[in-house]
Amino acid sequence: MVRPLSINTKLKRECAEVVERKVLVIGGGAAGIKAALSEAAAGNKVYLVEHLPGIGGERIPQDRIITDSYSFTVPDVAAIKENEKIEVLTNADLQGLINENGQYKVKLHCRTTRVLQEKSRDLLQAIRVCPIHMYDDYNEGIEWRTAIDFFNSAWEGYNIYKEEMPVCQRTCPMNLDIRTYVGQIADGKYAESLATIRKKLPFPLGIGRVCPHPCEFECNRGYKDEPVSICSLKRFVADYEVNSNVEPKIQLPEETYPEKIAIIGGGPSGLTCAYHLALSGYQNITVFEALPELGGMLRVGIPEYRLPKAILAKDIEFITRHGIEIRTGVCIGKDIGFDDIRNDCDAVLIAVGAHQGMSMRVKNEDAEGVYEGIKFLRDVALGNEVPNKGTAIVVGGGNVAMDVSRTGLRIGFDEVNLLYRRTRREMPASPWEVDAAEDEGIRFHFLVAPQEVLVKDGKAVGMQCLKMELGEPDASGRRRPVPIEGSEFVMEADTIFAAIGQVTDTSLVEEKHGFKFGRKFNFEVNPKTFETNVEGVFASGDAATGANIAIRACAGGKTAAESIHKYLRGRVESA
Amino acid sequence: MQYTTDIRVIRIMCTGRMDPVVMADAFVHGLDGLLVLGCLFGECHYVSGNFNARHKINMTQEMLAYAGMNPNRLSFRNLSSAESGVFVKHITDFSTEIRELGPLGGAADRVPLPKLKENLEIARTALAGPKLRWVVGKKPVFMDSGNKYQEIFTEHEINRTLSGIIIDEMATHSILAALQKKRRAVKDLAKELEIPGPDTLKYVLALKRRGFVELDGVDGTSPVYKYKTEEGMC
Amino acid sequence: MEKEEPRIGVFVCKCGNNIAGLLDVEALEEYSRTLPDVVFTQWNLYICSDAGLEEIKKGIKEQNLNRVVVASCTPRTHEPLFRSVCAEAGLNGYLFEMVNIRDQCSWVHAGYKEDAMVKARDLIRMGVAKAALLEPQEIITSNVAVRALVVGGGIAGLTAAISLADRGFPVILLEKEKELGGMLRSLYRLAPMDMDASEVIDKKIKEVQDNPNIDIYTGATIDKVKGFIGKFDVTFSANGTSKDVRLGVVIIATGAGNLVPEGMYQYDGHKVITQWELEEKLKAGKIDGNNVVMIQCVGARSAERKYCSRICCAIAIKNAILIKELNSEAKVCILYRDIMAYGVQNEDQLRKAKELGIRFVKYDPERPPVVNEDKVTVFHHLMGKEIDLPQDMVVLSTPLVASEEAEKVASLFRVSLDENKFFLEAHVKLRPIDCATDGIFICGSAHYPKDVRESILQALGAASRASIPLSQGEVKIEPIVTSLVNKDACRGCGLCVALCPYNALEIRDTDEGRKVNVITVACKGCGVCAATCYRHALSINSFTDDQMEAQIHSFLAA
Repeated sequence: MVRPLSINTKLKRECAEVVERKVLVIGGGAAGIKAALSEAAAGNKVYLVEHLPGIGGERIPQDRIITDSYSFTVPDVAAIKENEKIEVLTNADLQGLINENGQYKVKLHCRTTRVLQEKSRDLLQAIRVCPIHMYDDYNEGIEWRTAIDFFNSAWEGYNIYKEEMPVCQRTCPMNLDIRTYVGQIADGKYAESLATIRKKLPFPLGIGRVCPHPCEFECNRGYKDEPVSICSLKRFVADYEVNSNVEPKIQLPEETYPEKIAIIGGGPSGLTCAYHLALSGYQNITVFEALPELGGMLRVGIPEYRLPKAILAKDIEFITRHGIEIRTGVCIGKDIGFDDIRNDCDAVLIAVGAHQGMSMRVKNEDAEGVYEGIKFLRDVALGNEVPNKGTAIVVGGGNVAMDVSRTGLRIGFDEVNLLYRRTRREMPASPWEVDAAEDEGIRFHFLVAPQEVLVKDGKAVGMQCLKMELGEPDASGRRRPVPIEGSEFVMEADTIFAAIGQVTDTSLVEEKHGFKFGRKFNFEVNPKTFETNVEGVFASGDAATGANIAIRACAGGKTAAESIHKYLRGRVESA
Repeated sequence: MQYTTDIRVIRIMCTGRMDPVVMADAFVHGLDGLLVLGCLFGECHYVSGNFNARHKINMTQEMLAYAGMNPNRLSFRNLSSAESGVFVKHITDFSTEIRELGPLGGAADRVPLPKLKENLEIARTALAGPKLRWVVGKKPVFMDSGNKYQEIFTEHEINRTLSGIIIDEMATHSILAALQKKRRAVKDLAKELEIPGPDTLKYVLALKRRGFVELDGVDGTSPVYKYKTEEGMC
Repeated sequence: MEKEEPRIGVFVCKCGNNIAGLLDVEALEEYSRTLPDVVFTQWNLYICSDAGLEEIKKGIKEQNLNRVVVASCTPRTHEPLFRSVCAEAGLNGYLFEMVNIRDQCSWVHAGYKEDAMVKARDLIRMGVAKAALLEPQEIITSNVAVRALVVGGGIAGLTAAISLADRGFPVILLEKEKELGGMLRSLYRLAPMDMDASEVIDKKIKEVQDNPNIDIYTGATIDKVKGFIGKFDVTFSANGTSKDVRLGVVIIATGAGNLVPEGMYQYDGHKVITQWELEEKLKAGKIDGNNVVMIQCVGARSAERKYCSRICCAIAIKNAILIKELNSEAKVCILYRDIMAYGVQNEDQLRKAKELGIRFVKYDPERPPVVNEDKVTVFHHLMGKEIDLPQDMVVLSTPLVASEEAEKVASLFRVSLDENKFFLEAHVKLRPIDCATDGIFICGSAHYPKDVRESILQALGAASRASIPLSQGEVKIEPIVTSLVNKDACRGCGLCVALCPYNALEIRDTDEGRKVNVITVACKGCGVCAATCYRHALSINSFTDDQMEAQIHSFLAA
């Protein structure tokens, strides 16, 4: 529950015009209590906001340990209770504070106590029978408290403790309801589990295979033995449906909306957005995809061995069955102008991803035989001709570099050398990818930086490199590599791949449209709504966040869908 | 149709009638095996009685196992009323299994008699108490339509909670039973009941806070607790 | 109730040779005399004979017995008889306990006389222990609202409505579609007697519409159901208006649906069609091409749908004959797994079809037929090789599946469905038309796939069953129900209310606070509430915790 509250902090004591002065006190400890009492004594209306379910702060437990009941804090707490000028908002957090000419607008997030205070007389009985016991952090863990309890003896407001969002769910960019769907798998309710996933994520097959699962790193079970295999479990239920030949049911709402929405880019973000818009009842959704097939990076960035195209196609088929129009092979900015789309549609989502490799900024980078890693992966995925003979060098330490190396080895290179400026510890790639690459025979060269592409007859023949050592940590917290002077050496190669990051190709829009861009040529958006600075145009996925993991792109697509829905409905209401 | 003379049939209207206390009480009195026979799932003549029975029997089984009894002594099997062959198979199998386990409190059970009987009595008290009954009673509701906030729980989640409560209840009621006999210090309780000291302290303090035990002076440096009679159990 | 010392009489039956053949009944009688509270014992050759029953009455009167235990056969057949005999002698029938030493002992332990005697003694001792704790109960009666609800306006619902209305009972007929008639409206001819479907259904619809006792609501949905036999309060809406009615009984005739074999055997609705679509073509009298192949059991008797839809074979045979009659040149082949041509007429039709030259080929579900562009390839079981059948049209026989509404209706009325979502009867053989919940009856394909004749039969049966409470005006209910034995303990928490499968419990505000109230007419005595109540406030009459524990204790006390 979010409560808006308007507070005037200008205490013009002489001015008779001010009807009511309101003061916000944040924090219900000893100091907060004193402040609230003195402000109330000065005739102000006071709102005392406390994060915990009761006021009194750190004094209360200490008092309790010392005296077992009453103490010097208690008279103040009692005074607060009696003072009509003070409204105590426990279980509440400050969410936002907007200053408008000295008038503060305050946004509070109030959690429910799950107890009707006016009916909570006989709750000692409830405490006696409550079956849930938990660590009592207000008694230094010396005893257990029950899930329902008064918070402290001075503040007899009862509350029921309920865990907040589980840590895995909180970590997941999409906030998938992991505990529920894993629990449903434990119950053997596979279809229900998959339905739980699909409430938010339409790519269970794909994400179940490729997600680097940040949730698992946070999983509390990891402290005991090893984390719950959330990602594999997701893959399992999704595969279970495929293997048992069940057609997933499509349920579209009865209430529909006529607005036209264009989604530029048929990758994870664009398709998730289309899926959620369809689930909200929009019937005129068109997805434009420049490549001949849908899937975006999931199709052309992630190699076949990690995510088979046939599996991805099943996810995509499920999404497109929601009545979404698909136009592949249409490049906005080339085949259709952005203006045409903009004028034709009520809302536009730009989810073109980040498909352009970043330059290594070394000499002779444009020589024949030097490739963008990401372009190489795309060409392999699309079946285009790619170099596949001799020796290759891959520059970079991320998952794309691993994909390029491992794909390179698979399509025919005799030897793949991977250069990375720092050590294995600092590699951003998922550790299991690095291990797999090593097992497959990729040769890693750590603490090596490219310096110059060596060229013969206009064709790359090798790379001059420089050895590095680790110095002080940089802004990213990783230790900065420092060149060792005079350590230059030459590594021969027939092909060189640069896999050091991707940026967005923004050529679909022109300068006249007035979009703002970020550091990686990404569209600048409001991080909560994914709305760009141009009205009615939204951007999500890598195009908004810069290159990132697939589920974050999906999460962006979902949020964008919610924003587009609000935007369009708001427009209708105000019209 | 012929079958073993080992069984004695007690008629109930529906397996939903199986009260955990009655099941535990049977073992307290020295029964070697209890087989609950009911309709097939989904074909219950009382709509959902056997599902309720399953929740209760599973919980009772876990509780009695925690008390030291071999859980296979309590079993729930299903058949339709027209399947005499299946009936014979079930009771023959069960009788064979129980004969292999031997009499209650023997080698098949984790805890031997007479300690087992004491533990089972404690388990019976716990099963009669409100906590386990509430949670197991609410289980189908929580799984089906959820709580007041429409939060639906998975069976897995509720079972985990139940397992926790079983451990707590067993400890709590052992402590209460011990204190009822005689006032004790926490460390003596811990030694006697084989519960880790810090946990025993927490249980005792939680009981004190709930009004089931009270402080009864200090022996040397150890506080001594006694059972608080006037409040009684609720 | 004043507490009186139990004076138990034990009557042991020889059941001719049935019990005495193995057990020494006289020894058992003697043993019974040693049991606590037993003041009188007797053995008899047949207790259920008039003479035997007289002995019970005599015992009660002369020995002043206040509990009677009969050790004989099964309560299923004889408990009502012995109860009524006790009542005739002035003893409350629920102070009677039956011990089954025939079905549970003498019949099943032949050759183990010693062990069987031990068991018989145990069983009698347990029965006596329980009897000592029995309490008198009164039969519960409740008024019945004289009006019936029929849910579903297909052939079954219409028949049931007419049958009830003709007995003079007012009937409310609800149909979810805009028109009455149900599935029959889309059919052409009916197997096996080859009748015109529309003739049959139109006649019924007219009869219903002309009947002044029947209120018809089409386009209707049921919103809420409360109550129990005699007093069902149903809220339904039709044509935008909502209506509340009170009804005595309910007949569920919601029918079934057709399986659309999406993705099976190249089904496209044009060249590969279902039997239902074929009916329409036959109605129009237009069949393209000469070669028709029918495939049976499409989507039935499979892992997903294990049941046999029963009627599809007859339909296929009938339609094959119709095609032959339309075009004698036509070649019709039926690919089947097993032919279900039960009864007299169906078998006649099968014979006729074979005489007309319709070909029957058995296929193996492991090697199902393959539908190609212009032929069907099937592995011929007897020839042991694959054969090609030319086809201009393929007809798939799909099963009837449970109506989409079934789950909703079932949860509204709190009745059970089977694993295939068909309505479940209370007992397959003994109560095949009743639902487990009193006052609710099922008929037609809502129960499981049925042909028209069977639907009508069951509808007439359901109407006849439903008219029993309607004509009696009150229902008598066995008092083996929940009772609030400890009112002080009840906190009105509602845990039991949520679990009761029969809506038989409610929380009421009373002078002593919130307390549970048992609606005894609705209660069936399953005991879930009593086993759940954390305050031990509820119990089941004649199956109390004490009584069950006493049985176990007395068994273990040997």
